[in-house]
Amino acid sequence: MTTLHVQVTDRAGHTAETSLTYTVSTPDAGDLSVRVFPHRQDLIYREHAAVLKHLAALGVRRIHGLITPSTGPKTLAFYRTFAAMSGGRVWLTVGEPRVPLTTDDWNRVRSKALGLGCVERVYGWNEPNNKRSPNDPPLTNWVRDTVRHQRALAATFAGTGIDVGTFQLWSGNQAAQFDHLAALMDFTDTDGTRLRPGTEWTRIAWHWYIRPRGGVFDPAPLDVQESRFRAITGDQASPIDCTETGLFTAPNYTGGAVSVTEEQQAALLAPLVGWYRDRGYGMNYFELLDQPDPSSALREASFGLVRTPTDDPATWTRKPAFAAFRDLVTT
Amino acid sequence: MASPTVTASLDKPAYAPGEQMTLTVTYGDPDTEALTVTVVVTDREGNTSAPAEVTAIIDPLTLTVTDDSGRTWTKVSDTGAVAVFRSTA
Repeated sequence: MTTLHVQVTDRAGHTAETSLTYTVSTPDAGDLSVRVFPHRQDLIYREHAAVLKHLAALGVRRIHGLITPSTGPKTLAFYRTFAAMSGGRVWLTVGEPRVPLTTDDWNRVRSKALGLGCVERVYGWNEPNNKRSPNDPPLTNWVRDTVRHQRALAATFAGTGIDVGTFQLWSGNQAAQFDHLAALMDFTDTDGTRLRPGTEWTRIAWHWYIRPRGGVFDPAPLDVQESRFRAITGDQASPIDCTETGLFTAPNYTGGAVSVTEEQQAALLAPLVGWYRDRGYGMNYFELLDQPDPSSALREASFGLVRTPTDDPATWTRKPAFAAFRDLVTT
Repeated sequence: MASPTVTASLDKPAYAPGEQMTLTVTYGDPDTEALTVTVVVTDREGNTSAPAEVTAIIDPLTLTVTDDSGRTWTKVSDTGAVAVFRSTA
């Protein structure tokens, strides 16, 4: 509820005032998620108690995590605990990019995901078209393997009531992203099959960050992006989840993206959510926690709603955007 | 000197994010008057200029709109008695 104050004043300083209130509806919290990907030693962010504490304070009712055949009992317990605590659900990206799963792997993933009892959506590979570090699997055959992974994902979760989303293409190179999408759609497998919207997925997932134009964050390219995605895939019907978007706060960053201050990150959060929500998109904020970065120069380490100067949860503190996000999902 | 009066209304009680909001303010003051001065210049031969008019407002009013959420309201019209403001939810 917001209050408006209207005042009229004459030259002598006599005043009259009136107030009125209005409400701006909040986004559907069921379509607003926060991403919690990093795993170490079967622990998300290597720490569960503190992460769950921050999630509870955040009030979010959806998280987006990762599941692989080797996901262990601690991570599965984390997902279950979150769902029980929040009354919410979990979205899961299945598998590591460019690491094909065997039939046994798929059976294990299915068993683990269904055993959670709280999975709402599963997605194809995260950024299969991007090699982040030299240790990552090579990009050789990424198109073929991404298509096969997507088909297996859809087959594995068919009839389970869990929605299946697409692969989540890396959008760092905007032109290449659409070439990559076209390559996936054009790929014909040895059995003559190709990807089919509505069969291999029922939701479109993609990473799309709103970039500034002339210093102003402009959501209009989202519409262009959606049109191109739908034109290339022929999918005019599936709802969209933006599975990565956010604002990063790295004061010493020197690359081509735009770092914002923590205050700007908080102030821009509601408009950011609104831009996706107005288009009917699900949205996944990247991400819950920063990563320790003494240089304060790393983009990927500074999208968080919580500062993490070290791995010790006692040092973690909430950025202003934490409260802004909480207000969006709880008011 | 009399005190001014003001009433205000919004076109809707609730909005979706991004929606246009319209605020209508009706205001006045019994002391407020519009005074028109007409000036005509005449020379010694009796030639007169065309009349020139200038209008002054006696006890003019200033309208201020503030919003707890920090939204900016932009005045789109003002008759001197009714002003309309717009903002985005």
